[in-house]
Amino acid sequence: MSPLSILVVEDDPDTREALQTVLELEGYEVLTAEHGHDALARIYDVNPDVILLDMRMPIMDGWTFARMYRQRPGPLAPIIALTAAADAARVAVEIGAAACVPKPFGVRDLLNAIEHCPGIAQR
Amino acid sequence: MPGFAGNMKQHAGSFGARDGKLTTGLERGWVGQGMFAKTVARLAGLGILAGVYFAAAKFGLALAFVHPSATAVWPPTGIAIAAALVLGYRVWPAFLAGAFLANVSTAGSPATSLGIAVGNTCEGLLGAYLVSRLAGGRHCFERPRGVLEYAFLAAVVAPTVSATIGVISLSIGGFAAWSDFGSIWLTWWLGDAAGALIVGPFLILWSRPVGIPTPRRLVEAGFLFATVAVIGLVVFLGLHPLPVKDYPFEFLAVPALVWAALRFGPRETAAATLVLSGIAIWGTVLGIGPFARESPNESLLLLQAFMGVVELTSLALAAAVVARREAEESLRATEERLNLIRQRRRAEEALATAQAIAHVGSWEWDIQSDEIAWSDELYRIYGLSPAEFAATYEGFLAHVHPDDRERVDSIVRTACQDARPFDFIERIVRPDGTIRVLNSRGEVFTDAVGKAAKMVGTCQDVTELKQAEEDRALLAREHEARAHAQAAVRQRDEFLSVAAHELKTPVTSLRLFADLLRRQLADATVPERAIRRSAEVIDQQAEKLSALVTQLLDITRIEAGKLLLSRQPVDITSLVTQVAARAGLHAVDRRITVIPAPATIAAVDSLRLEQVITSLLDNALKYSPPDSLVDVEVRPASSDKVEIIVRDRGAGVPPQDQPHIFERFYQAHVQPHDPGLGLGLYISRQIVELHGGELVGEFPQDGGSRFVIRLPAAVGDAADKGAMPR
Repeated sequence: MSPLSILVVEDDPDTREALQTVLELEGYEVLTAEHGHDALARIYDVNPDVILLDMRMPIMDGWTFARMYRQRPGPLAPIIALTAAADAARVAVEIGAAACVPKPFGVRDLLNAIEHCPGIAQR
Repeated sequence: MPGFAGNMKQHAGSFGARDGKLTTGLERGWVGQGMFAKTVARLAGLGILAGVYFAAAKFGLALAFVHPSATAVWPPTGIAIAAALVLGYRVWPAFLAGAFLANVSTAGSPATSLGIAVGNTCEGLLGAYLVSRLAGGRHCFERPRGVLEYAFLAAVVAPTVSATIGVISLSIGGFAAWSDFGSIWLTWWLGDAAGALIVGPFLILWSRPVGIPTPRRLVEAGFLFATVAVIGLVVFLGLHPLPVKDYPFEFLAVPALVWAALRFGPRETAAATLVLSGIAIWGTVLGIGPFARESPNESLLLLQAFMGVVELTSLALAAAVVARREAEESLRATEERLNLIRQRRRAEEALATAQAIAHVGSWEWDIQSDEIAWSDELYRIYGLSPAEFAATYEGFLAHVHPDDRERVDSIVRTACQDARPFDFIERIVRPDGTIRVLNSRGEVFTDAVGKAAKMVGTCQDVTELKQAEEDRALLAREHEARAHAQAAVRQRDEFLSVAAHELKTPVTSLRLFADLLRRQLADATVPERAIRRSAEVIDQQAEKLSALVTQLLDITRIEAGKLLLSRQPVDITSLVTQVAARAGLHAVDRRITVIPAPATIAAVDSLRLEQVITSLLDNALKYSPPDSLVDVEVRPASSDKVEIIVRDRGAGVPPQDQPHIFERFYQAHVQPHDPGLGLGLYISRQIVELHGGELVGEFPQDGGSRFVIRLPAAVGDAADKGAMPR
């Protein structure tokens, strides 16, 4: 059985590096993108199992990415919103995310969210 | 006419001098010829008149029964009086000739005929004279009293002359017996009197120009005269089916003549009487009608007496109607005048009311006599009574607000000079001290030589209007302030959102790497390189966080006015060199060129100035390509200024962003790897301005940015000033 693939969309290089390292240690297959536009290009032919999405990004932010992603044909991966906004839950509803993890978060918070995310086949 | 030319001078003298100017021979010739034509015309007129007189006399004498020369019907009396009144006394020869010829061709000798003719002539002249002197002349038929006076003077007094002279002439000439004197005289007198009453008024009244009647009047007049004719035929010619032909139907004449008097006037009344009289005489002579007696003379005398009285009565009635019509007319005219006056008064009242409602007063200034007239409303606007206002220009100026007085005076004087309309706002002070704002407008009227003679205008009390305008402006300002505040709040919210993101991002990295480090340390297989990397990232994130927090603190200090400088004289070139070297450390493969200036000393807070230059150099490196040049130049700008210029050859700033780059929270560059709060330039400018200097951004044509810090050069006391809060 192949490992679950996760797309990390995050503009801050340090955070992106940390997320990638941590998730790879946990055994996930990790794809990364710097912003929404980059992410759409990255998953043009490969659909990940779950998307970790930062909201505030240059070029294309999380809101726009989510909207455009939904217009894609075929099965859609659940989105987990990573946001610094004060009302993280509302942001998640706005973009139709399966879950949200408010910043700043620790590794435990993140893994919990992924493991309990609805719509993912659990190992 | 051989004597005519010889007499010409005399004619010219007697007639030509009328216009009172001396005339030359030639002109006199013309005048003489004019006179000649006139004389001919006059003679012709006299001839015609004599002819008419002659014919009327012959007609009268044809009806003479008591004596061939004395008749009950003598129209010439009326003709003579009317002619003398209308044409003048000088027509008397026509009477004399007409009467003489008529008599001499009828009966008696030339001598008696001449006597009679003299009597007739005197009768006409006397009648005309008396009527024109005592009864109002030709206009006597316009008043009932005039009618009665005419009747007495022309029909009672004048015929006595003719009758007396005529009968005496006949008696002396032996053509009449003295014993018949009484009856002949009476017939004579009565005939003349009837002629004066029946023919005279008709001729006098119709001698004046006749207006064109309306078709309606014409039709009614047609009916009137037809009725008169029918009545005449029925009454005096017996044209009715009854067997008896002398019924006293004469009263039937009265309604027709009353109709003429009431609906028309003296003129038509006289005409109707004349028509009726003619028919009556005709019938009576034929022995028909109410007045037919054994003797035709008796019949005619009765008829003439009747006709005279009827004429007199209806003429008096017509005159009364005229007088009444005139009185009504004059009453109507008076009423119209009164109405006009009333309307004008109403208009004045309406104007006063309008002025009171609109708070508009009007005024008029006679400049030459310096008299001012105010409307009631203007007095109310000034809060003055007529007794309190001097009604002169100086008096007016005294009530103008002292601050406006000079301006108002100059406007008025200019308007006088240029004779131009004016419109201005002034303040006035009421006696109770309240100030009113007036809008004054006026126009200048000039005299014949173009000098300002009169000024007329209005004043509107616009105090409330102005107040409302100010209130509106205040409201608008408040709205603007509120919008401004709302924009500021929005900007602050946006900033808080950005700040939250910017602060939470390094914290997230910190936590993730801290967790990772813990796991790495627990796992012996993890290489040391990976552990070191985690530790380094944690260190970098902490530093990043620290820089953000420092910026936030600076902002807080600046806004609270608590950013304090500690200034020392510093050599700017060496300070810039140090900063450039440090900035170059971070950018490994970039070089920063320093262009120094010797001995440029300024009193600055060196740590803060370092912060500014570092921030500008960081931006320059960040926003320009790796192989491009960044330089920083120090140079004295003027005797007391030092400039530090940071120049890069990068992308510059888009034109639409250029005016905003120094604003708080403004980020012109939205790029990946470009975190930050958008506070760098804002804080830098605040720090430079605290130094009494300025920071400007320039964007040269050849690309890139050029930031210029301009600082005051070190002079003595500048060191203390920096401590002042902004």
